[in-house]
Amino acid sequence: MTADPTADPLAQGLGAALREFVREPLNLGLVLVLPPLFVHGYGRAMENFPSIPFMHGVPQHLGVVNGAMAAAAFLPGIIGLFQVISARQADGRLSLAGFGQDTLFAARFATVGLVAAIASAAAMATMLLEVTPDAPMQAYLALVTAGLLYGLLGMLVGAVLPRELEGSLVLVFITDMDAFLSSGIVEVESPVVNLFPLQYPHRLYERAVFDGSVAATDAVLALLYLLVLGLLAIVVYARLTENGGVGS
Amino acid sequence: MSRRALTALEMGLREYGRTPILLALLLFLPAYMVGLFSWIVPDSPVRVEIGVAQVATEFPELYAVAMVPVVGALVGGIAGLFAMQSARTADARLVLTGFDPVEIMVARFGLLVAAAGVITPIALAVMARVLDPEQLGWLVIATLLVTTTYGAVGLLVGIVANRLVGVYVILLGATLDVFLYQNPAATEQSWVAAWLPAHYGTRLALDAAFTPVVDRSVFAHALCYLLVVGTIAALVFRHEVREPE
Repeated sequence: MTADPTADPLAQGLGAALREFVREPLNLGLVLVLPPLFVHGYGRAMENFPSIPFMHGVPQHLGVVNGAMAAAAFLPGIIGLFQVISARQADGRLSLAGFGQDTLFAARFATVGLVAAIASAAAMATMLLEVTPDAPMQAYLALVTAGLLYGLLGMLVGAVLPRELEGSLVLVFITDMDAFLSSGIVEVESPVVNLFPLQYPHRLYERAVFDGSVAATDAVLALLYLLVLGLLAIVVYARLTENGGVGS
Repeated sequence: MSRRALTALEMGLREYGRTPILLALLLFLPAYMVGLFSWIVPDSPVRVEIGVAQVATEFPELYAVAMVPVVGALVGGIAGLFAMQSARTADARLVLTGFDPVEIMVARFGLLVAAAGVITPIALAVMARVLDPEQLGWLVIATLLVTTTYGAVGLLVGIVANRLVGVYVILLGATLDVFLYQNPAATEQSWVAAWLPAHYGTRLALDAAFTPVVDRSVFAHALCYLLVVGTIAALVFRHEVREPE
């Protein structure tokens, strides 16, 4: 089978990445089944926590809300990581064959974005069984933003550390710390938390769920974070795929 | 341990040694996790129930201890997952060259213990900045138990899942188990918590850190849990290296 030379390179790249992803039925299960399972698990796990004044909502609801955020955000992160590592040389060769590096990057990022949208929908649907957000669309967009941020972070880690074991360890430790800090179980006021990617979308999300308002500053900072991370990922990815992805 | 099992273990350790980034990560990540979390949580007092004892402590001390099993679970789980993935290819070839699956299994489990042996002193040294544990020896045992139990869980996850799915399951599963279900700040524990892999190990760690006497039955339960999960993982591992995909 040969590619249609008149087709849009971005669509071709996205199509190839998606086919690669859905070829493994487990991956589809990952996107559709695991996020709801974890959202439910977070809710059950937190129902035995005491209500503390700084917590938003009852602990069980907070658990469901946190679970939705973690499940939706970390999946694109891991997919971004593995995509970049596994496609390192293939994308390098495609780059030599005439595909623009920007097109290749956009195709990879579009796949991550699609997974973020689907995982967010699955996580949010589960959350809706227990918690009704005051502003559902804003809540959903906050989840997708978190997914995009982690997708880019995963791509960046994969580009800088292109080995699966090491890349996984780094991503897992960043995400776990981020999840703990934004869990609302402990009130952390240190400015260090603002360096973690989940903080701004998480605050946006909590406001959208619990009082229906938009945290404008957090929205701007989340977009700024996305922009900076995106630029960094593009630069590193371009270096990675130059010269056919060999020796970089 | 047979000579060939020792050779396989030595080969694995050399591979680790040839990957300085991995070694650096095993040294740095536990320090980062325990150190950062205990540094940024507020210095507020907290009362928690550990076994039958009521313990008055502060959040940095409590979470410095609670983060040690988290680190063990994450490193053990990911290392186990990747060990099973490599069993399907590289280790199956070793069997073809005449290695007994049990020898390879012993070597791979030895690698998990070695990884646990690297992260445990680092995590505990960083923890010791904020808390002088009541019984350091038991705390070391508890950390090794959680790490190796999650190593066995990682092996099992690696059978049913590819790396992508496996990393996601270990990441969220360990968070759910150690940080949420076993969190000492919870007022009571759900029945689910007692069935999860980190339950007894975490309880032992908290006992060792905050109380002068460790409940030996908790240690026995943790050991039994490891033996059961480890045996199942070993049987499946043996099956995988004999019949690679």
